Amino acid sequence: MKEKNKPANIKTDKTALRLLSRLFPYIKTNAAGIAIMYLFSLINVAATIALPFLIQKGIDYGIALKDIDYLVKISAITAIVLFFQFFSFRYQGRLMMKIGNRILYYIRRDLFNHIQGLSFRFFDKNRTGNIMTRLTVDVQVLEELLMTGLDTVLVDVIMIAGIIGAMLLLDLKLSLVLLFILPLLVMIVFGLQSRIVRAARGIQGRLSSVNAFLNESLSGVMVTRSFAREKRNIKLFESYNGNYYKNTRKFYPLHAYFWQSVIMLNTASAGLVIIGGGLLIKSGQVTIGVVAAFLTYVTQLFQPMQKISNMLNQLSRAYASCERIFAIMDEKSDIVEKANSISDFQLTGDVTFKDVRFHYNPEEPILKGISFDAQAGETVAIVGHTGSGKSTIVHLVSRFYDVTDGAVLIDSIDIRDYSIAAYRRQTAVVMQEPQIFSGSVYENISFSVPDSTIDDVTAVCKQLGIHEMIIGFPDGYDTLMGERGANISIGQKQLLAFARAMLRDPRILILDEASAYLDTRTETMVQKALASIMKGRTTFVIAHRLSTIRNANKIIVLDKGVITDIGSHEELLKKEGIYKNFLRQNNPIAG
Amino acid sequence: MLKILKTFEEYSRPYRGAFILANTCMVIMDLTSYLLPVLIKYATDTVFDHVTKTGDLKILYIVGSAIIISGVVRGLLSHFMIRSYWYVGESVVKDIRNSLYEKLQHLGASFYAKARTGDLMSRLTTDIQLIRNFYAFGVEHRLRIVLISVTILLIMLYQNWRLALIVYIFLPIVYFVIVYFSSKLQKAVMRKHESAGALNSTLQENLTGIRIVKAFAVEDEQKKIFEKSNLRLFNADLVVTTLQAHLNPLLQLTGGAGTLVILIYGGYQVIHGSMTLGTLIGFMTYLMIIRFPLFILAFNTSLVNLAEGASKRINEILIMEDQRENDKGTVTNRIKGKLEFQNVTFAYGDKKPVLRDLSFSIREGERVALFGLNGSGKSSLISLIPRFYCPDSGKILLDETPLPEWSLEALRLQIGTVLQETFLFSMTIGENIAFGRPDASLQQIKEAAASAQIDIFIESLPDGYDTYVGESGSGLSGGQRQRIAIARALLQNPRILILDDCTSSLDPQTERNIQNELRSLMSGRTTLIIAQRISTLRLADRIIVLDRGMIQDFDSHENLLKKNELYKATYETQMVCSESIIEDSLSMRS
Ligand SMILES: Nc1ncnc2c1ncn2[C@@H]1O[C@H](COP(=O)(O)OP(=O)(O)OP(=O)(O)O)[C@@H](O)[C@H]1O
Ligand SMILES: Nc1ncnc2c1ncn2[C@@H]1O[C@H](COP(=O)(O)OP(=O)(O)OP(=O)(O)O)[C@@H](O)[C@H]1O
Ligand SMILES: [Mg+2]
Ligand SMILES: [Mg+2]
Repeated sequence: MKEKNKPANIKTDKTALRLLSRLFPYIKTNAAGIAIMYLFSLINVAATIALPFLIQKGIDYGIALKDIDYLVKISAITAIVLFFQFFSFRYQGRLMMKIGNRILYYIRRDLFNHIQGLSFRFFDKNRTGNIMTRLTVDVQVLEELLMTGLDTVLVDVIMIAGIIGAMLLLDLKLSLVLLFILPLLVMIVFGLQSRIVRAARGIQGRLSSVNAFLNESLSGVMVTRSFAREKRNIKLFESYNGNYYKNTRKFYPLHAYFWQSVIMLNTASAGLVIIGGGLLIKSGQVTIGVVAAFLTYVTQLFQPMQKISNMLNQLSRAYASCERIFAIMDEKSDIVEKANSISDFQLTGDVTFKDVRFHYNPEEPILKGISFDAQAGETVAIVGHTGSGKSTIVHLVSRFYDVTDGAVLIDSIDIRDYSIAAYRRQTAVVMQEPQIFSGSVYENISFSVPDSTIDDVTAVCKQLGIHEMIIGFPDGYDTLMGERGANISIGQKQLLAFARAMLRDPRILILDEASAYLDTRTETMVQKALASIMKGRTTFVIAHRLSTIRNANKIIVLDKGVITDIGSHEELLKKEGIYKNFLRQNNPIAG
Repeated sequence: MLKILKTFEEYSRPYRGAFILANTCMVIMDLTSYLLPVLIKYATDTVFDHVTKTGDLKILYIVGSAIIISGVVRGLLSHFMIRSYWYVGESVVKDIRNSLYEKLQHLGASFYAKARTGDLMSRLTTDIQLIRNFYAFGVEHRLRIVLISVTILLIMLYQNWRLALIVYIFLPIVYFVIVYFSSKLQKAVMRKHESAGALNSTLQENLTGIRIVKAFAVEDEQKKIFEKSNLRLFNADLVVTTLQAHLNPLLQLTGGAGTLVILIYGGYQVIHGSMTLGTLIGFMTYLMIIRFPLFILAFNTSLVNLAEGASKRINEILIMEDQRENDKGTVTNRIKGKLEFQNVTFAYGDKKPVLRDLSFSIREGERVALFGLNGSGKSSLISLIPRFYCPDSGKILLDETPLPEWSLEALRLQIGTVLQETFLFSMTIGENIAFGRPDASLQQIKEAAASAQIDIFIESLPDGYDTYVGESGSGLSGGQRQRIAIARALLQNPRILILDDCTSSLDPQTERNIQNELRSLMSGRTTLIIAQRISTLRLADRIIVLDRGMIQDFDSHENLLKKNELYKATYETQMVCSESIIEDSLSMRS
């Protein structure tokens, strides 16, 4: 912890261009599809621009001149154009969805796979909630962009250009209304929209604090309950919620202003066209059909403009999301596998610490020169005061962290020379906090060896002596566990974690206070089973109970990151020291 | 739609004024929108003609400015409409969110034993957002769809019934297209929600268990599991988006076809003099207007469908029975500490009972330990005292008063509990210790920390009591976490102290120091200690031996050694030390 563990904000120091270039590989694989999509988009745009034009012709030269043949001809062309529009719109949409979804799928996959490769240090610093948000909310923001915006940039710009072009072509003088409409429109769209974006960001931030508070309240509800702190929590929540609410009240009026201006401008431009058109009609410079077409164009001009502004909004949000997504993708694991790592080997199980130094944060050395030797087949117990660094030592044996100085040797080879997965596959850990997943008892145990059968699992449980206990659960091995194993006792959870570790048949086994919650009878039973299963293999045991450590071949006494004593139970008994003191306190008749 | 409005009627009532204002603005705005085509029709039919014939521009200016003014008015109306709808939406949702949170704070332990955090979170985030959207624009869109299409169709009918009837032919087509798509869409959207939910759960479990995943090097299996969820979401997404990609062009085509029909048939009528050109252009404008409801129809249908599901899920929680229903008690006395169980039987749900016919009584200020095998029901027993659960039969009396007659808050505030599994919040260490008494002074916090033997460690940290604790205590060692939890309970200054195996991760020396502190701290207070170490159990005046939910014995250490098999066996196993140590300790005692 120390301040390093404050929920870290993943660093963001990317330039916009570099970010977009990160997205490029995802886009590149779909280049052909995107090209075809834009082709369809262009047809769609052409059709959309042509339609009012055709209708104007129909009105002016067909209806007004009472030329039925011409009217029919124009109508036929219109029908064909409509069809083209339909098909191109449809295929453009389908392609866009397909490409967009595929890109999202790959991003989610890459992100998850990358996270799986990150080390403990990363997870010490980053909260589950925050990482979750990257993979859900931020990817969703990208989704909105890809699903609605991918085709917008080009198409809508062309659309606007096309409409303006058509208006200029139809009548230069009447097009003067554009001089009034366009600047205002641009002002509204870009001016207001950027304020909306800013407000939306503020809201997003407030909402995540509401949700973070919520999430933790749910996990810690039993603590809240036992301290009768509900009322205070409710008040706290109301203030978070109220804070968010206050911010939304800054947001939606902007939205209202935006639409108000768009509607005003939209209608007003129709009025201007009528007045301007009337003036021109008076002097016989335009026909009524031209004015009608202008009315249509003027209203049509607003749609792509709105879409572009929407897209800009999404783009800026997506930019922020991309930043966060790629910040995670850029995270490097501090546990790196060497290029020529040993991956095909059978562990014997000798473990040697050579003057190992280690710290989580540079200011605080945790292990200050640890050296010891554990031969295959030995059971090594580590005892010491809380916080002395016991768990840290076994973390190094699993290579969850790398030493700061010195070396950990496994079978006389530096642990950093092995392939990480191949090494860990021959070890097993039972951690201080039993970790049960929702799912059945069987699934929880076979977690460590995913392709093991129910028979394998049953065999291990029988060996450990916990078969009876599991059979006693409502549905035996199929009993579904609640979240974090909420529906069994803590001791029972630890036993399942034991079974999970033993199923792996490890060469090196690490028990970090794995039997702290077990009753003595169960513990003795488990220990007996372990003694026979772990024969010829290496076991590390961290425990505070004498009964657990007495039989170890070697006991390491740790004090503030330094080994003060090492030896067997009998050897240590002869010396006056921490160990003896430890035994005194542990004695049932002491006190 | 009415279903949702009714479900949350109570929540929307305070904002009824704004809601009515929003609806009024909406109706006026939409009605004035017909003015526009009428004005345009008037302009093209009459004014332009008038202008060409007489060159008189006055009327042109009047009509032109009328259109501009109507734009201003409509703009203002739309402003108030949007603002009010959103105000109602955000306000209603704020209140619902508060009630939900309040509810969740009071829902019983049995609810939480089954609940999935991911599921609850999605109700509180995604579902709530859907309800917000429903009020902010769902209602608006739904009403406008009905209002606009009905009025436009009526106006068309009034202006030229023959042309109108032809346009009407498209109605059933549009209707069936929409019904067809929306039923498909609804299913697809549900599937997508499910797939997204499944992906989230996979993710959540992976991340909370990431250390185990890495320890067992099963990252590849996890990737496979995630890949499955990811692929499912991809496919579900594709179905939804493809449906949308098909529907919109179809609706556009229908609109285009309508225009075409008006052009041909209307043009024919105009040529034959049975209709004016202005009417024709007006019709086209109407068609433009009706495109809006047509366009949002699909979107709106799926929103309302989704919101209905969301309101059901939210309401499910809101109407649940919570602990307040059982909080009819009024006794708020200071607890003296006499505790009596009378034939208490308790089961989780409808499973077989875990506590059977328990009867015992604890004196004021007595220290009692609970001992028993794993799963014998120790944690279950103590969870009955602060009333996390209620017994199925039998009675528990505290100071001669049945527990249900005590006010819950008064009861719990006087009971200090250290749960078996330590949970720390991601706030500072100081805030964690003061969790039960946020108004405690730093001095008091320090005293509690000292009693829990954690003060020296905390003060050695660069930020001391202001050090931030990582998620669920990451960055602290197991024993450090446990001691902070003990300090948290001690600060409560409780009348009854319950310690559920809370020194299991402590070395014997630290444990002993804490016990010495407790001994003086707890004099005159009833204490219940669960432990597996005999050295800890010995601190108690009497020890309850629990066996499969029943009391086997309730006696002092010395007596239990004589008569209780399990206790004796445990004692012997733990008492395996060389003679010298025993002598040492004996000499220490004297
Ligand atoms: N991830 C971490 N980041 C920063 N500091 C840590 C981290 N984990 C542990 N520490 C600190 O390192 C020291 C040693 O911790 P460790 O978990 O090894 O102790 P331990 O001997 O296992 O204690 P316990 O018996 O209480 O489990 C403690 O002071 C702890 O606060
Ligand atoms: N929420 C729950 N729902 C259903 N069954 C439960 C629940 N909690 C515990 N149980 C079951 O009730 C029994 C008693 O559990 P309890 O937690 O009281 O045991 P315990 O004596 O505290 O054990 P331990 O020493 O392992 O902590 C166990 O068989 C357990 O599986
Ligand atoms: Mg530890
Ligand atoms: Mg328990």
